[in-house]
Amino acid sequence: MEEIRYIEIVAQYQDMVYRIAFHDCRNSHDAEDVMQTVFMKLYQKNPEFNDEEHLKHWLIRVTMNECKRLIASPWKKRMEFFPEEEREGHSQKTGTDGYERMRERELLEQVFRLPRKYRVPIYLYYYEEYSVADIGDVLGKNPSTIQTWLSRARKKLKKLLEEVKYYE
Amino acid sequence: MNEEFPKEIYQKACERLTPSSGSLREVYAVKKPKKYPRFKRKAFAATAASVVLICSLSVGVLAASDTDIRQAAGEAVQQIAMVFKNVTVDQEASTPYETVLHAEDGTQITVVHEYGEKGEYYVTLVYHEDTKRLGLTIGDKEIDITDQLREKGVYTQDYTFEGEERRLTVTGTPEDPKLETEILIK
Repeated sequence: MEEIRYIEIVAQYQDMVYRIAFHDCRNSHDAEDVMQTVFMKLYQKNPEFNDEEHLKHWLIRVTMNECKRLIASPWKKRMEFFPEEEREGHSQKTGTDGYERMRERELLEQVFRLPRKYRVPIYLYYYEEYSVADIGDVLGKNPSTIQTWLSRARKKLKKLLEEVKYYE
Repeated sequence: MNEEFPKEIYQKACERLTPSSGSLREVYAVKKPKKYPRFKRKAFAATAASVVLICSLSVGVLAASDTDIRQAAGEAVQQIAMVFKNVTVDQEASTPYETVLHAEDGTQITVVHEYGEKGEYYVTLVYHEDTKRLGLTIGDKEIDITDQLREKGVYTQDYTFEGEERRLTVTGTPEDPKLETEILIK
């Protein structure tokens, strides 16, 4: 793969790959390991893509596969939702910014408490704004399955947020 | 979809999930180790967006119309602010060691993949148009200095480059900052 094209792809999709991996693995170290492996595979295998969506789907699938491999590994790192340096930065925030950051963090923590199979569909649906059909296509699932997962995830998340008094 | 989902807060939260610059450097250096200044990555990511680059120079002035952005112009410590909007990558002209970009106004920019012989690119400011935040990069680390600059109007920090003690000073606003560096003589 031409290096320039590789760099363009990385620049465009690094955050997406990292965020999917983070949702699956639930810690930054593993997410970064997965991200590095995914792009290394991209560079080495140099697959042919019909279009940009095909490339994006490939990246998502490979990311999920790498997460699966990592989670199954006996060397899996400990679970930690947010890295230390982010915690330190967060604690320095004051005022409206600090409150909003706290709300965002609290929400993410509860999303990460959802069952694993719900987390990436939640991300693809609410952040990448994929349709249910597209999510089904990428993950190899029936759209009705994805629909059910999203519905159950929302119900469970609502309960988790109520438990931590998120809406008060 | 009847149950509510706090989509906006979730999207903002996800925006903050980004990989460390250290891990990205490894991703970019997939073939062999290289130093990629952080602003270079942002330039690539912003092919259809605005990128604001403010480079601190220990020597020389960047001449935006030249192919070599390290054109020497004297020995004094000088700083320059460069604003490039809608940069695109020139794939034909770029090599593994230099990336050539074109700004909307026709300016050609060459990014050298290192910090510079005198540490010219070791310290930079990157204004993120999408989040309206100002990042200060020192080497491969980026610090968000938006709030401090807005509150106090100035941000200073001492740092070391190749054994030399230096001090950087950022003034102005996050949207229009100025960066100066000086070598500390002790």
